[in-house]
Amino acid sequence: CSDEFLEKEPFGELTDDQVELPENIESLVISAYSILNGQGNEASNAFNSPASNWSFGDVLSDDAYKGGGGTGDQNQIHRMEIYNIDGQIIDVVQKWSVLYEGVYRANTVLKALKNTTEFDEATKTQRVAEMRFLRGHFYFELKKLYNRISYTDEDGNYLSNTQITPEEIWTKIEDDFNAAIAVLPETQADPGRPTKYAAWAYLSKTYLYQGEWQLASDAADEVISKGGYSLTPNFSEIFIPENDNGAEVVFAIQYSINDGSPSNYNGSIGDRLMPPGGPRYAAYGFLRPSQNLVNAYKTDVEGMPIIGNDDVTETDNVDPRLDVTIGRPGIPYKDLEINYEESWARDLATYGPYGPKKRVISANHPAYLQSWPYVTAANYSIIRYADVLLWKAEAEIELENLEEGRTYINMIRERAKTGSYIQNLEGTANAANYLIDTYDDPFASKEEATIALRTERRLEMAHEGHRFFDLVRWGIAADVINTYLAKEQIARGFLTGATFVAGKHEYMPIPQSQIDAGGKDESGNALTTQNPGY
Amino acid sequence: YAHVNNDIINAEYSAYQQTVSGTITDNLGEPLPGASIMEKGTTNGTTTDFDGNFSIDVSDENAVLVISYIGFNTQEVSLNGEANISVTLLENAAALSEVVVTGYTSERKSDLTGAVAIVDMGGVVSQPVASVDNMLQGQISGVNVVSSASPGGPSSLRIRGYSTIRNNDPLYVIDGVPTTSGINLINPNDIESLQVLKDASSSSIYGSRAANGVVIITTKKGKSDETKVSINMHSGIQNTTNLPNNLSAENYGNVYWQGFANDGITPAHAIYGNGATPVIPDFLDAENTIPSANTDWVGEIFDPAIIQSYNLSLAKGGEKSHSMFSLGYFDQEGTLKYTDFSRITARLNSDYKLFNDVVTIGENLTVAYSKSVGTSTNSLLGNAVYDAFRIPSIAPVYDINGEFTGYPLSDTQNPLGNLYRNKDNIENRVRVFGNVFTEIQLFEDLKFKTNFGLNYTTSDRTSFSPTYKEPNPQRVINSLSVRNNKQFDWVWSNTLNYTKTFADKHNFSALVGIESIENLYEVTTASIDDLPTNELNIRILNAGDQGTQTNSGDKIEYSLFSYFGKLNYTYDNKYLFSATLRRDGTSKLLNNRWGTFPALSAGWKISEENFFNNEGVISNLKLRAGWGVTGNQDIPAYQTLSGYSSNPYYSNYAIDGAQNSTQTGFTLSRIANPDLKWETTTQTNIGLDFGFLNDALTFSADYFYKNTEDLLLFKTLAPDQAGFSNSGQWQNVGEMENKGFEFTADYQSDRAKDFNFNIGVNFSVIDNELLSLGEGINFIETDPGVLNNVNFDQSTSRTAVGQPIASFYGHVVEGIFASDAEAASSNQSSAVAGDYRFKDINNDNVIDDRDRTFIGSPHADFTYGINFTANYKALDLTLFFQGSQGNDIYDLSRYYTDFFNLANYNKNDRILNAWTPQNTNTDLARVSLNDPNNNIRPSSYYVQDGSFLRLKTFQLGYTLPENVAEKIKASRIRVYLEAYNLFTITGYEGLDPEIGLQNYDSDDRNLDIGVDRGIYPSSQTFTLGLNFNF
Repeated sequence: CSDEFLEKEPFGELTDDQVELPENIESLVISAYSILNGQGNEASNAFNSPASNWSFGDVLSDDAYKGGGGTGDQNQIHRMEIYNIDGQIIDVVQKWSVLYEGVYRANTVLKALKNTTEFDEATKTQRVAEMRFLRGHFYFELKKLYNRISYTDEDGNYLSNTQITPEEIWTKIEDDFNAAIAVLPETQADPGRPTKYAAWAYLSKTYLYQGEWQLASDAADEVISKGGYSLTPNFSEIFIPENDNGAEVVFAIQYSINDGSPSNYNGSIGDRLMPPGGPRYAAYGFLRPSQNLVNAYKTDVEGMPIIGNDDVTETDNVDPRLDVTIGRPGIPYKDLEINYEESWARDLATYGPYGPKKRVISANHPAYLQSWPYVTAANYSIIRYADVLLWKAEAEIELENLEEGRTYINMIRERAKTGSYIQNLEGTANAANYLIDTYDDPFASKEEATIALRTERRLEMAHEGHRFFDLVRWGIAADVINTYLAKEQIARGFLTGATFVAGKHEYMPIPQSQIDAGGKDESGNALTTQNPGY
Repeated sequence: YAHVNNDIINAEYSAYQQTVSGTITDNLGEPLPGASIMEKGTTNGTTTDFDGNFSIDVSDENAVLVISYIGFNTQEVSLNGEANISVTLLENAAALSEVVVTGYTSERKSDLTGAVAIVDMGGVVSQPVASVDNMLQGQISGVNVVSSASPGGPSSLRIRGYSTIRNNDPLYVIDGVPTTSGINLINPNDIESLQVLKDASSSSIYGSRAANGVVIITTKKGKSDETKVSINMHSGIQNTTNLPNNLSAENYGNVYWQGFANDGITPAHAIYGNGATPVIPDFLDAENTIPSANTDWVGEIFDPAIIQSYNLSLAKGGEKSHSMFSLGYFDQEGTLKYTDFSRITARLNSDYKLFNDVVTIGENLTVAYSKSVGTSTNSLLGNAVYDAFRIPSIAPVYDINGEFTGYPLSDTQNPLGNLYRNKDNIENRVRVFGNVFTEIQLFEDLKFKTNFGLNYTTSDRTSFSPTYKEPNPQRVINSLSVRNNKQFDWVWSNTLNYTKTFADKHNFSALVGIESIENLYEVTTASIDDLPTNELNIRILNAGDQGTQTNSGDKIEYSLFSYFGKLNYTYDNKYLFSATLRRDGTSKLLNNRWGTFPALSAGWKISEENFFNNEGVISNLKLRAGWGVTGNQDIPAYQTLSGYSSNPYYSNYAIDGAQNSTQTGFTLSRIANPDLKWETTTQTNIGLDFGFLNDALTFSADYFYKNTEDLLLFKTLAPDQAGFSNSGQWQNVGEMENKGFEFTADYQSDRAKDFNFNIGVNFSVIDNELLSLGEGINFIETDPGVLNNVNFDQSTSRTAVGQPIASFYGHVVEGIFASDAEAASSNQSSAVAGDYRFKDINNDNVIDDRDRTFIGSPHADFTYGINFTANYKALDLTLFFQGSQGNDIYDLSRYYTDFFNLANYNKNDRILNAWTPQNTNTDLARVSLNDPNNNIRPSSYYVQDGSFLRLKTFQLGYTLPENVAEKIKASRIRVYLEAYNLFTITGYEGLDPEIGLQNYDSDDRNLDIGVDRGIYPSSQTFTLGLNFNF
């Protein structure tokens, strides 16, 4: 009788048996999507593992500084920024862990679906495809950040990073996306679920990262020709909450606020340090545009990019995307009817006057949470159509089809040109000297085309968490970043002494905790080993 | 100062036989029932009745009566013709005959074989703190109290070190009912006696949860036929001392400019201007609403505060029943403004003897209500103390409109505004705690007892965050949240107790019992935003914007079932043996649900041996030795069971694209480990008790060795297999060792003299070491999710194999580079003159994370307490010193206050002594905003010596003459003045060297002990107290 007294079952939990019922498997599916936002526990520090990769993709590149209250504020991201990185940095550890949580959750569903007998076959097949898409995404992110990663399938078969090569990982990722393509529908009633074309797009990206240009181009073609996507007419409207699942969105993380959850962690929680200060926003002031990025938007008299990166002056011509992407003093901020001011910038002396703007939404909008944690319901697009067009352009240029490449680049520039420009407060004129045009002449060389393509990617995709990974896959990260550091540190002294070491800093270190707890092989060697240089 | 009272004389005289009657009381006027009265030189004798009254026929009007009572000095009284006498007996100094409550039974102190500390409640209860556990600091060797000094704040007892990594709190047993929380809802004035069972041989009878020691509390009951009324009260004023000096508005600007110069940055500051020197403007904002000031922010948030305590008790006893009723009111305002704790307690204890004393039925019941307004301290976020360190002095408290304002360039809230806005966020708690019991004398030597105890505690807290703007931190939408929780525990124990003495020399006692315990915890929370006003009357959930409402809840249950037995045997009052065995089952475990916990001990009263000369200097000598095993199963419930649960923080998703709703997801609740087993601690204790000069001087020394195996530890698993939401699994890994030496000494001068004094000293050395964490794991640290909110992501401490728990870990600062050339030739490529030279621990010519090492320990080399009391006629004096030597403090508050990396925050005055080419004799690196050398990193710079000696209590009392007392029918009136924390001698520069825990409930609570992030400091308190006895 005493043993019966000692049997206590948890309240409010599904048992292993209950979980295999169809309606309960659906709730496991939801939780697999839920981890896309990088929020995996009850702490408010998903900014250490942001879905948007603002720290890994932007701060580590030449596009942004960490920002915040000084170099001691999130000092570990400061250390990343000055390339003093090791496997104990919490962001390095937490990002790795959250992505594997995603793998784990996708595998959990896949395994449950294998075991269940009651699920209707059509839905089951769909859910398997969705989970393979998600798993592909999580492994892609891991591969891109850490390169040498481990692999676990839904049956629990595990290969550590000494047992599987990065090349084999690519194949596994391709397999997941191909499996998703084979089953997923062309459209989804739930916009949060991937479509066939989202899977094609991700497959294109997977090939692109491997330099498989023809395959990348072919996959992109599927998206372009059949996906039904289009560019949002105004560049400034891509990122507004109304266009959360608009025509340009290929696959996005669905954010929600004021939905009954205790701390609004279903919003853009990984980006919660981004509000720029000023009278209407919390003054976290992280992700601060670099001077170098501002300068990149300078255009010549014909509206074409200037490569030299001289400081922009008030009279210079600039690409209109500049003031959509970056908060600049004297330029109206969103629809708040006030100018962004230098005084908004937290720790101006250290991080300069600019603030983030592109993925910050209007403080007037109901999708902006005006209380802690100041998140938004505006989705983050993992892939948007403009990205696909630029992949296509890049693949074609690499395949020496320069004209094809020019066409797709111009689609992007055309939208930037024809859309509406930021107006001054009075609404009487453009807020700055905006001038942009398309590439009207064929590229003279593959080199010229490549420069055009890479510049365009930077201008179009800035502060969306992609820049660093682009530099790495182009093989120019060390050159570009060290050149940037050498110049930028004159104005931004905290970069003094920072050096990007080629062959090391392209990838993050493997978390020390992973190496420590990752087990040993029969001869006593660690199953997980550190990346080169760390 | 025993005396014969001649005032009450019944002088009827008889030549050859006279009846003498009288009363025997103790020094507090309490009657002593059962005291023995003998006519000297005869066999004529009697004993006192329940009210201490006696009557004896004596043969001679000048007879001498010998009056004796266990625990008191025997006294001889010459009658000199008196027919009615009242005698006050004085307590025996060593009180060796005192009966102490141990596990389920009681025994004479002189028969104890384990390490049991007995606290004199009379000496501690006047302390101006709410909770009895707080009163124990420094009083007992081997017991350390880690507490928050906030009003009614939590505390955590550490008995003989850290036997485990997670929960080290002891088990409290109050009138036979075990509990682990809510001690601050027990009125200390209701406590009759408090014992601490320190070693396994004494505590093992509570096997299941005894590994951290057991605190046994027995509450008062009535003794006298007459109703005894006592009133104890004190009230006083608390003050905060030793406030840090932060930079003035002017100095802050100057140091900022020094930083600009050092970094080669052209000065540019939104407030101090762009000139060659900083300029203090008239206003901090363009609208001219925030006038510049020179605010002493730390001074602003602290204020002297009132503390008061009133207690009334009525007690009545008799042969057939006892009862005690008490009422208590305690109110402690915090020295940190707008914080407060108040408590009302009521207690009714009673028992009745029925059926010719064969059956005793009784109950002890207390109902307590507390109301508190707290604030979080020792944390980065939302900590007014730390915010007061950080907000620049140039910011005024109020703007020109009288609203709270602040510093436009930083996110630091006005700390006073923050406290003010929190002032109505009250937590109410109600606790009903008590037991009913029945004891039946089955046979002459056999007793059965059944005891049912319960604890029902509810608490509710309403938190309202009003809108405000000051000017940078702001809240544009107000928010209300409500949290209710409920704890319901019950325990039912049944014991059989057999006691028998054979042939006058063999004393046996045996006990067997069973016990069941069930514990239920339930929590419900809800919140809503956007209420129409910030006024008090609107603060209910219905008033807000329904679209923003949230709710959540959880429910946890566990149970324990136990069998236990105990056997005591004493031979000839010389040789003592004791054995206990307990077997416990817990719902928290599955495949290894049951644990068995044995203990053995023995004692040898050497001084009772015939060869021992009892007339000599040594009056008592006892050797004790004990060994025992205790258990710990204190892990979160259900860790052996797999399951899937929904968590609104990380398992829901708006799959349909909605912006204000989500679908519910379920995810793995935990990585279950069905093979978890009990953590066991094996402890050996050897003790020696000495008494000299008829026990006027006593010494006691104990050596213990504790070894904890199968440590219950949340072990981090490889993240590529475990993921993130469940980053690890509870496992039995690791081994911890504690060894130590405890010493106490006590000297009592002759109490019969007008001037007498007592001096007590305790001294402890505890050595803790983590021996193992299982294969492949060398250390654990605080969970990163915790580090962010409380530690600025700085990892300060590491619990590592071969080190004591929570040792400080970081770089070693070897010095400061004297020149750029010296820096350039070092391993630190970005360093210049004035930067720290960090030690290259692994000699690889690179300074990186691998060069971190252990840089300090929060554990003391030794701790001690000195208690001195003296009486002179009606005056009494108490001095209590408490100290700790050799412990370090990691002063993490220096992260913001000593480095300019976080430029928009104020600094401590220490930074005026930062390195400059002219000021090289310093331990603080140069001022730099950019800090390319990362001087700010965790290092030995932050580690400070935390040793201190504190005069904790100074009390001077005066007992009014009896004729004065009698005018208001009182038997005794005493008035006293007490100074608490009168002075502290320490080299530590922070607010207070006694650093509490960061969080008293967290699983990680012991992983970062001794880290100072701006704590709630202990107050210096002056109180006036009054004791009335009627």
